[in-house]
Amino acid sequence: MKKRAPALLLLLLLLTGCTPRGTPLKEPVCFYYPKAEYDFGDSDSVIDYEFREASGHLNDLPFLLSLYLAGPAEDYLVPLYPADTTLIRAEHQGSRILLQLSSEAAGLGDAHFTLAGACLALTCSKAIGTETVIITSGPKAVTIDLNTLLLEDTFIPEEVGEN
Amino acid sequence: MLDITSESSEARVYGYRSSQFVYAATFVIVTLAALVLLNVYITIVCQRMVFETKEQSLTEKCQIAADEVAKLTVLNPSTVSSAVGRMESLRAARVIVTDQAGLSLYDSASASAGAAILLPEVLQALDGSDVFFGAYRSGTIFCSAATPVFYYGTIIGSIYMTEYDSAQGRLIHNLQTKVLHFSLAAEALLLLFSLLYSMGFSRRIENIMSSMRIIQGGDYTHKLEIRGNDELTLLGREVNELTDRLQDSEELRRRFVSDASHEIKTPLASIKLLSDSILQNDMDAETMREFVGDIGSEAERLNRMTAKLLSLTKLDSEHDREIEIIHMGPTIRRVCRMLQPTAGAAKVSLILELENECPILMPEDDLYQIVFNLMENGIKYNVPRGSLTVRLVRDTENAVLTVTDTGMGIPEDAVGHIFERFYRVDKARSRSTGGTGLGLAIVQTIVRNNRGEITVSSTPGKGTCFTVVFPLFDTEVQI
Repeated sequence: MKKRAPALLLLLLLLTGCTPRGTPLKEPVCFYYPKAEYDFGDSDSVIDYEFREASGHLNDLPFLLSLYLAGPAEDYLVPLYPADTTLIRAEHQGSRILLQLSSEAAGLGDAHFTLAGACLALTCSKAIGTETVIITSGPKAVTIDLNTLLLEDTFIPEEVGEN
Repeated sequence: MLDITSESSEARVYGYRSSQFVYAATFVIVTLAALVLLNVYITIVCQRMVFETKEQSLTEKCQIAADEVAKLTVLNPSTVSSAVGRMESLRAARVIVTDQAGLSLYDSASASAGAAILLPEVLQALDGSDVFFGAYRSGTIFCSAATPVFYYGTIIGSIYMTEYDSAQGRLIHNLQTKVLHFSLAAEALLLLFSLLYSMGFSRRIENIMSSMRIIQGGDYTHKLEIRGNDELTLLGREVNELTDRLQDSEELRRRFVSDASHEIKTPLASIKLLSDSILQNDMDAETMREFVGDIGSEAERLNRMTAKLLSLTKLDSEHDREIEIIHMGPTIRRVCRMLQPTAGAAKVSLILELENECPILMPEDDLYQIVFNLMENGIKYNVPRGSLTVRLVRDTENAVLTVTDTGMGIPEDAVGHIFERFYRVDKARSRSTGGTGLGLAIVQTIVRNNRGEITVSSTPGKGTCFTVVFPLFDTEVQI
């Protein structure tokens, strides 16, 4: 019995270690949210992402955005839009997409509205591949062009780069 | 034959670690840790000093830019670009001006106005805080700062600036490299020093160990030579002193065994000779009675000798005996009464001059033995019509007992030996008087065991005087 005990313990540890943490997602979709905590400098961004299950709705943008507006599942992410914010309209305008949100979102500060819009734009980009997203809510509107969106300052002057 | 083959016996002891290795390793680890801490500390302090300076200058530049932007009546890319362009003194690597929503109004590194600038510093500034971040990377100082732009208490935008300083970065890098080189050189020197020191220390310890093995083998003449003036030198001296004492003790033991054997052999030989004579010769009853009487005398002498040897052994081994406060006078008088017949037979008159109050702390039997042996000797080695004076006086702290006889005295060269076991000044006379050569040795041992002192002075042909001193124990004073 004395010899079996360590073997059983080892087996238990192996089993615990090998057990998959959570069920693998069948059709994952990437949702972007602001991080709860972030550092300064050029090595950190204020936005991060999580994967969510979207079986059967991968191309259903209204459904995905409704799911998105419900908020993040991970603790290290925070929702910016108020909980009762809803998607009123999602419309493609050429290479751009227009998202009209309910007026609750307009209650956000200007900077936070832009940040929330950037997260939404990144999510749309991953879902349907669009590069420019216009978000409106009540009187507020912001256009996020992912080509010019600056999340990390990686600019290095030439004289420094040469060194 | 000395056992030199056991030199590495310590290596077989379980858990043995060379002190050389332990000392050297400890020294190296401690110094290495200190040098690493020194390097880290210097790096951190230098960087902090540079960052503090940078924070002050970059934040000030941000404030200047924020003040200029706040003066603008219209806030658009064109007006902001003109305002920033006028500020030649900024000299930042990158300047970004955003509106209150974090959208770019001016970016010195990019022409795309209206882009969302969601850097952590900008977001903090738009929340109303001044922000500074500094980092040192591969020889370059990188700093970023952001500050809000206020217009009548309302945040209308933010200023973000970055700066790269290669010159100061190189200074820090050079300083770090120099400190590192110095540390490595110092560590190498310390390593060498600790190695040499520990080798020297280890060699000295090994020297002591070798000497102790030689002494353990029985060579008490061996002397340990340790140079220097430290604890090991003192240890070496102590070992040498211990060896000297062992040598003395061994010498005494050998002599004692030899003397004891000799002393016991003599009466045994006499007994053997006398008994052989009785067995082998036809002798008359009178002669036989005389021979048997001699055998009895020798046996009695042997008995006395063994009794005294036992007494000495007992004195040597007994250290915790019960002591009591006794007055010396009554005990001395008792001994005197006991020896009065012997003194009368030897025609020696006994004179007592005793002070009454001489309390001392010792077993009464011990005092009895001391006085008895000294007085018995004084009677034995006296001359007919001689005298034996026993005097007891007290000074401030001691009781002084003197036993003075008017006998033949002790030759000057023998005075230093009379307390040795089995030593006799006149062997023939001693044996004839029944002496064993142990009486004075017993006296000296008892006196020393009771914190006393004994001395002797003698003039050949005139007499001998023994002086015994014991510390007084006055109850009133002591308690």
